[in-house]
Parts: sequence; structure tokens; C-alpha cells
Amino acid sequence: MIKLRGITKFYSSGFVKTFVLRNIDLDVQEGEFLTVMGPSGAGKSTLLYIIGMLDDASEGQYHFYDQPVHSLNEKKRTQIHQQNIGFVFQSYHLIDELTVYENLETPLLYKKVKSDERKSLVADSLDRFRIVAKKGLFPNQLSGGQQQLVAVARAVIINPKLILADEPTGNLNSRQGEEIMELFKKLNKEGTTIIQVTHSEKNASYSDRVIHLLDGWMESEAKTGIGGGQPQSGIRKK
Amino acid sequence: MFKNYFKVAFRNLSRSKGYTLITLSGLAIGLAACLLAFLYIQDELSYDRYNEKSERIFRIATRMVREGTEVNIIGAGAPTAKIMTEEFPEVENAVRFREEGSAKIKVGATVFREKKVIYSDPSFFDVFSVPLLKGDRQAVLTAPRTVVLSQTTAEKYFGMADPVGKMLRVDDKSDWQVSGVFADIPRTSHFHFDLIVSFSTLDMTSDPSMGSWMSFNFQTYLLLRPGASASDLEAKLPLLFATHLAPEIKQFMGISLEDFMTKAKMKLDYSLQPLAAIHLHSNYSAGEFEPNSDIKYIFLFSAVSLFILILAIINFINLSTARSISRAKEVGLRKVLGSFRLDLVKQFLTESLVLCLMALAIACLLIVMVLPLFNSLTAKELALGALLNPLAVAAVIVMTLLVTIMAGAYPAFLLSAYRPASILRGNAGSGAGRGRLRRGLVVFQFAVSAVMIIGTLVVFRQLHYIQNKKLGFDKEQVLILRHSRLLESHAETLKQEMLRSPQVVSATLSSYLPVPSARARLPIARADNPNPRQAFPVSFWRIDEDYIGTLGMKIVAGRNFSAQFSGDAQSVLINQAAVSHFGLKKPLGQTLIMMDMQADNPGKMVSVPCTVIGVVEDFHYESLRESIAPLVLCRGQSLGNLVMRLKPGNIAAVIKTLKRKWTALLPGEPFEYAFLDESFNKIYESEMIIGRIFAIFAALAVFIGCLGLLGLASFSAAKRTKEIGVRKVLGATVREMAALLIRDYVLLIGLANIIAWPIAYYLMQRWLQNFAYRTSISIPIFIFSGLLGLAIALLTVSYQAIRAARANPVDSLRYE
Ligand SMILES: Nc1ncnc2c1ncn2[C@@H]1O[C@H](COP(=O)(O)OP(=O)(O)O)[C@@H](O)[C@H]1O
Ligand SMILES: [Mg+2]
Repeated sequence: MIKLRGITKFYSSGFVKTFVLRNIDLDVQEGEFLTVMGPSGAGKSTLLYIIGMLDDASEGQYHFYDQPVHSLNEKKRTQIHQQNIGFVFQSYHLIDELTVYENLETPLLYKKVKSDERKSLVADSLDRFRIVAKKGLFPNQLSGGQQQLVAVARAVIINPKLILADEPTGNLNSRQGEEIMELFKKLNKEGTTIIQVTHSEKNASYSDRVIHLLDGWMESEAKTGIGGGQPQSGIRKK
Repeated sequence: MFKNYFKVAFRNLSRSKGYTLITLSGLAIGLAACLLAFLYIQDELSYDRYNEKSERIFRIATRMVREGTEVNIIGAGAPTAKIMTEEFPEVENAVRFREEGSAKIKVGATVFREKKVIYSDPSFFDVFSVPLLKGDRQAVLTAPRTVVLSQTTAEKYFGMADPVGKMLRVDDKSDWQVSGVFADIPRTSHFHFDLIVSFSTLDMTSDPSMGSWMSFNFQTYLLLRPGASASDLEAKLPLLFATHLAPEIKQFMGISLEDFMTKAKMKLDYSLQPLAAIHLHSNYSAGEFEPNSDIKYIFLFSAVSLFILILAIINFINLSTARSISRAKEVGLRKVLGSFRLDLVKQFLTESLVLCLMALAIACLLIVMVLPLFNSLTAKELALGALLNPLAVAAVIVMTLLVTIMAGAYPAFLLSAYRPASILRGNAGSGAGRGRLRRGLVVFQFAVSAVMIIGTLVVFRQLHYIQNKKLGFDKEQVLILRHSRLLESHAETLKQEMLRSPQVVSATLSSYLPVPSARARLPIARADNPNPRQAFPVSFWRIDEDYIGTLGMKIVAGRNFSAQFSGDAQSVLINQAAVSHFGLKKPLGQTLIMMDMQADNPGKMVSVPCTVIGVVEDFHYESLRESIAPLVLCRGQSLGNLVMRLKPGNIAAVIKTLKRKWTALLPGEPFEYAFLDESFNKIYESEMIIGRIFAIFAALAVFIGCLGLLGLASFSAAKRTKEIGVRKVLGATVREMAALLIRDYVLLIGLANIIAWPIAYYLMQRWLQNFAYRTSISIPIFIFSGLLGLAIALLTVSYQAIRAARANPVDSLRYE
């Protein structure tokens, strides 16, 4: 589904180039649940944004299915991302000016889903995430857990093939975090590919595979089973 | 989707009330100014368009060039209309007018003084689309001494009764019969008549000009056939002179037309002026029915109102880009949720459209509120309803969309270009480059304001200059009784009686006043001129020996007329301009030859020699737009006005006495008086209007600029909260902090003024060229406008700056 080859990202300020990602090769299969781990500033978010087509790589090739994302224009990329990808962030990131209902509706509007279908999809989603009572509220009227629930609901409402989650439980208490992770597991079972960034070993344990980033280098690839197992240290790739 | 955009737009606008208020009020004022300009211009352009045949109607103007001086007269010889209709196939019809001036109309026992009385041909109703409401269209205006009345006049005279067939007594000597009633001539017409008298009435008089090609006293309008070319016709006009004017010249002067022209160094021709161009493009010296407007005012008004709108648009751009950071997160998220860039552009343009529509609604309210004032200022009858025509509606829609795009496009493209990856990490970037754009726009706003302030100051300074200019006579405390001619021999009696009042210092009877009016000119030459007939026509007044003293003019050489010198009948006074015009080294005692009409045979010219006995200091008898022309004053009676110089004091009592005496002498005759200084001020009415419009628009420009500054200042104060907090922790005082925040604006406004000064100087220098006598544009005007702009702007920003500077640093740091 995703094929990254030699992905490099750097920021240049003056003559100095700051490397954030260095020569990343990565393949993600459809239906996989992948965890990206690493210390703060290692480039995890950057990698996620590049995969999510919200940011460009400085060098390298990125194929999404058979589409060469690195050579598509912004409009085409938005089309692919709009149809296929849902995002969840650490700090919820709901649109403050919109109600819960409208937040859920927005991606459908951009996908140009028809009004009837849109209404039923939003209603289903409100039901499924048990937030019907909150649909008229604005984000600042919700608790953190509730906001993240809405954020997840909003990410999955377009029925995406791929969910990208950047520390989705970072601001939640453990019970709320568990709830979100169970949700991801369920979505993954139903066939959604998931890539998450997390610092928590416990969250990582929900996934099929863990990669480590350090200073922009991809450190390792490890296979984990459900319920645990330490990631094995891998060879440092060039 | 758009429903969603609108919803978000409203929520955003109501959330940031200050920003909304500032942009909205600015845009509303800008739009109101433009709509007002549109109404005004639409009205100005509609002049004479009520005529269905307006495209085919042309007016004849006579141009005389003599010794390099061009005189343009609206008018043609009396036979022109008839001859042209007969001889030129292009001409379908023609109509002549001859002004009567005022007439005293008696209806039964009631007396009316009518000023808008005109003689005209029956073809009037064929050429102009003025409906005849009563009367026989075929017969009306044919028989001598018949008259048609405007509807208002008919109602004034006869109420509801049918006026047709009724008699009017005119000037106590003749009777006119009413033969019809026409609908009042629309306000947007370059002429307005209350009584139209049949032209054949004039034929009955022995007026020699009636059959002459040489007197250009008849305003003549031609109706061309459909498809006829006016310029082709114009090219044939010299032929008209050759066949008709030439024989007349030969008969009276004994020379051929060509000889006459070359000897007199004169060129003479007719030109055609399209009817629709008269109101805005006609500035002829003589023969206009009413003062016209000028296309210059249209340019001025549109430019100024457009600038106001641009200033408002700049506020919008400035504030929305300054605020963009608060919208950045939303932009990033929408992109994450699959928004195309174009979707975001549309969303922001929708917001801009919502604002513009709200502003438009407020603008309409504003216009309804200010229209009465505006109308009284410009002497118009504009109404908002005039926008309810397809063209105006289209124009308003286009304008609203244009403003939406101009104001919204830059912020929309700027905001929609944000990359979600960097926004969501929290570094949207303040954008130093954008700061520079904002500063540039602020400089532009204040430069425009400064130009307007300087413009206002210069206009008012010139008006002040005019009002206080040494005119060569004293216009204060001069009371004028009109129509004293009607008193005939009693005029002198009334003068003597009024002189007995202690308040009346002196008095004179004269038809000539030192304010612009239609002037008689006669060819006047030096005694040694071999051909006095062809001398340049010079203004020529008849005054009595009290005139110079009463009006406060000064004799600089020789003496005034005097009752003691019986020979004064053949004497003249001349002004200094005349001294140099005639090239007289020692003017006193010199002889001038005047070519006057013979009293018993007005077709024949006689030469009258006169001796110069005195020189009058130049005084302004025309507008200060023109330089003082030569003037010859001869001693004679002209009874048009009784002019009295008064002592300060109870002037109302003098007027009361005057009225009592007037009514006793002429019962039922309307009593009219005026003050010379008021008549003088009327000359500069159009400049007064410009001055007021300038002042209002300058105030609006400054206001809008300050609204923008207020917004920017509060924004930058908010953005620098943390910096301020840190500096205060480090020991900076409130004053230092406020100064830091204010310094930027002082620099910007200083720069704006430096840019504005040369532009304002150039523009106002050009405007002043309209005046032969003008004030200078002095440095203090620039300094004053700069300080004014600065002071107003500082007042605006200081509040924000001081508030920010005084804020508790702990709060601001915790806030971060
Ligand atoms: N716009 C930028 N300019 C320069 N450096 C940046 C920019 N954005 C991110 N970085 C740097 O990239 C590195 C990786 O950031 P990020 O991907 O957010 O790390 P992580 O998510 O692993 O904490 C960080 O060191 C950060 O400072
Ligand atoms: Mg991160």
C-alpha cells in the first residue's frame, strides 16, 4: 500500500541544512497496524505528515498504491488523501468554530458526499461513538477524552483505508487511552491500515510491527504479537 | 458547502467583534461614498436625456476670434433656424429662443414677477420632449402675443380653472393670451422656462436684430434627420455666412465679408454642440440659460470616493492578514480533512462577501440618512430609489463583487497557502514580509488622507483669499434695491428720500454692479485709430457721479464725474486696465471714440468722441478666476438698481423703510433686495461646494485610516504582549514601553506625509490655475496637515499602546 524509498527531509536555514528524516525506506501492507516510536524530535510526526501527504519530502520516492505521490501536484494529492486517509492528533485538533456535528460533517463536505448520505453517515458515527448528546456542542465544551473521541470519529467517518494517529492518547488518562486503542484495534480488524506514533509501550503492543526513529534515521523493524514483546533492536540502516 | 461557509463566516465575524466592527464600518463608509458618487454622476449624466431625440439635437455656438481673443457666444442670428431648415437637407427642424429676462405679470389684481420668460418657435414642442398638456399642438405658439405656461405657473395663476384663453397683463403695457399648458420641464434639463411666448410677438416689435445675421442673440437648436452627420453639417456652415451674412455686411459696412474679416483681424464661425454635452462640457462666456456643471467635478467626486473605498479595502486586507494567524489552525485542519486549496479560497471569499453585503446594507442606510444634507449641499434631488434601474443594479453588484475580491483575494490566497504540517506543529510564522506589506498599505492610506487634508486646506485658503482680497471696491454694507427701473422718474426721488435716513451714507442709481453679469460691450478706440468700427469691444457702463463713492472705488488720477461740470456728458472714466489696453501714456484729456447705436435707428452705428477725465483703480467686476479687463465708465442714467452704502446698525429698519416707500410708489409690485457681499459670494458657490465635499471626504479618509490603525495597533500590542512582559520584568517603565509601541506609527505617518506633499502640491497648484488671482500653497499648510494626521493617529494608537504597556507582566507571561 505504502512504499517509501530514500525519503529524506531537511530544512535549510541559510547555509545550514537540518536533517529531520534521512533516507527512509519503508513498506506498509494493506491491513497492517504499524507503530512508530522514538524520542522527541526524532522526526516521527514529520514522517507521518509525509505519508499523509500534508508535507513534501525533500528527496526520495513515495508510492501510495501505484500512485507516485512525490511527483503529483497538490490538487491530485489532496484528492488521494481526501478519499483514503484519516488523521488523529495528540492535541485533538477539532475546528473550534464548528460544533461536533459540523466537525464530523466537514470531511464529507469536502468529499462532496450528498446531503442525505452525509446526514446518515454523521448520525451513524454519532451513534457508534456514543456522542449523540454532544452533537450540538462546540469543542471547548467537551473534555479532552470526548474531544479525542470526536477526532477519531471524524477521522473514520470517510471510511478511510489508512488512519494516521500522532500520539493519539498523549493527552488522555489511561482509561480513555485504552478505549481509543481498542477502537483502533477494532478498525484494524475490519481492514483499516493504521500507522500510529506513540511513546507508550502498552499502546505499541496493539500493533503488528514497530519501527524506531532516532535523529531521522530508521532504527529497526520488529514484529510484535498482540499483548506485548519488547521491540528487538535492529540493524542500523544506511 | 456554501451554507457551511456562511455559517462559519458569521461565527467568525461575531466572535471577533472589534475586527468586524472596524472592517464593516470602513467598508460601509467607502461603499456609501461610492454609491453617493454613483447617484450624483448618474444624475449629472442624465441631463437633457429626457428628450427622446436628444441624440439628434444640436445647439449652435458662435465663435469670434479677434486679435487672439476668443469670444464664444451661445446664439446665432435670428434667420439661421429658418434658413438652415430650408437649405440643409440634414436639418429636420429648428427652434430659436430669445430671453426676455424678467417680466411683471398681472393676473386680475395679483402681480407676479416672472424670471423664466422666453420667446420661442412653435417647433419647440417638436424638437424637445416637453409634453403639451393643454392647448392645440398645431396652433400653439403661432399667433403673436400668445403664451404657454408651465403646469406649476398655470396652477399658480389660475388654480384649478382652465387657463386656456385667459389673458395676462405684461409689464403694464401689453396683453398675452394663454394658449396652452406644458408639463414642468424636468429638473435635469439645462433650461427651465415658466412662460413660453410666441416668437411672432417679437416680430411685431421693431427690434432690428430680428432680421439680422449679425446679432447672435438667438439660442438656436437644430434637430437633425436620423442618420445625418453633425460634423458634415458643421463643415458646410461657412457657406451659410457666405450666402447670407456677406450681403448684409456689404449693405451696412460697404465691404465684402473677407475684407471685413481680414481688416478686423477677426474670424467668425458657427459650431454645433450636442445637446447631451451641454450640461457638462459647455463653458461659454455668454448666452447660457443657466449655469452648467463641469465634467471636472465628476472626475473629482469619483476619484475621491474611490479613494475612500480603497482605504476601506486596505483596512480589510490589513486586518485580515494581521489576524490570519488566528485562522491558521482552522486552515491547517481543513486541509487535513481533505479541503482543496480552492475550497479555502472560496471560503475566505465567502466571508469577505458576507462582510461586503452587510456593509452594503449599512451603506444604504447611511445614504438614506445623509441624502437630505447632500442634496442641500449640491442643490440636487437625489434619492436612493434612483439605484433601482438595471444599469445601477448591475453596477452595484459588480462593485460589491469587485470589493469582495479586492479585499478578500489576498488574504484568501495567503491563508489558503499555509502548509498544514507546519501550522499543526504550531509555527505558522508571523511573516516579516507581510508586515512590510501592511506597513506599505498604512503609508498609502495616510498619504491619501494627507493629500485630502492639504486639498481641503488649500481650497478653504483660496476661498478665504477671495473673500478678503482687496477688490478695488468695498462689498460690505451695501444694500441693493432691485428693479428700481420700474420707478422711472421716481427713482431719483426715492434715492433722495433714502439719503435722508441717517443710516444711508450715500446712494447711486445704476444697472451695473461689480459682480459678473451679462455685459454690454462696444467697440471703443483711441482717437488716432483709423478704423474705430473694428476696434475691440470693451465693457462699457453708465454711472452717475455718486457711483464711485458709494461703492468705495478709488480715483487714482484726474477726477470723478461731478454735477458741477456740465461737459461731463462727453467725459469718461477708465480703469487702469483700459489705460494699458489703449496704450495711453498720459490718459487724462485723451479722446476715445465709442461706436454706439444711433438712438432712432439702432441698425446704424455712430461714433461718439469722449474725453478721459479720470482713472479708476482696477477693481474686480468679474470673478477672480479672470483677470481684470478694460472698462470704460461714462456718465449717464441707468436705473436698474438703487445701491446704498449703509452705516453699521439697524439695517432691518432701513429695509423696512425702503419697502414701505416702494409699496407706496408701486402698490402690488414685488419688493426685492440683496446685499452686495452675498451676491459676491454666490460667484464662488461651486468652490464652496468643492471645499465642503473635500472637507467631508478628507475627514472620512482620516477616520477610515484611523480605524485601520486602531485595529493594527491592538493586534500588534496583543502580539507583543510577551515581549512587553519580559521588558517590564527587566525594568522598563510604562512610558518607555508605550513609546516603543508608538514609534513605529510615527515613522509610518511621517513617511506618508513626505510622499503626499509633492502630490498634493502638484494637484492643488493645478486647481489654483483656475484663478487669475490666487493664494500660494505655503509650507505651514504641509506642516499643519502632517501634524494633524500625526496627532489623530497617535490618539488612536496611544490608547492601545498604553493599555498594553500597563498590563501586569505576570499575566502576560503566564498567558504565554
Ligand atoms: N519548519 C521547521 N523548520 C526547521 N526545523 C523543523 C521544522 N519543523 C520541524 N522541525 C524539526 O524537525 C525535527 C523533527 O520534528 P518532529 O517530526 O515533530 O519530531 P517528533 O514528532 O519525532 O517529536 C525537530 O527537531 C524539529 O525541530
Ligand atoms: Mg511529534
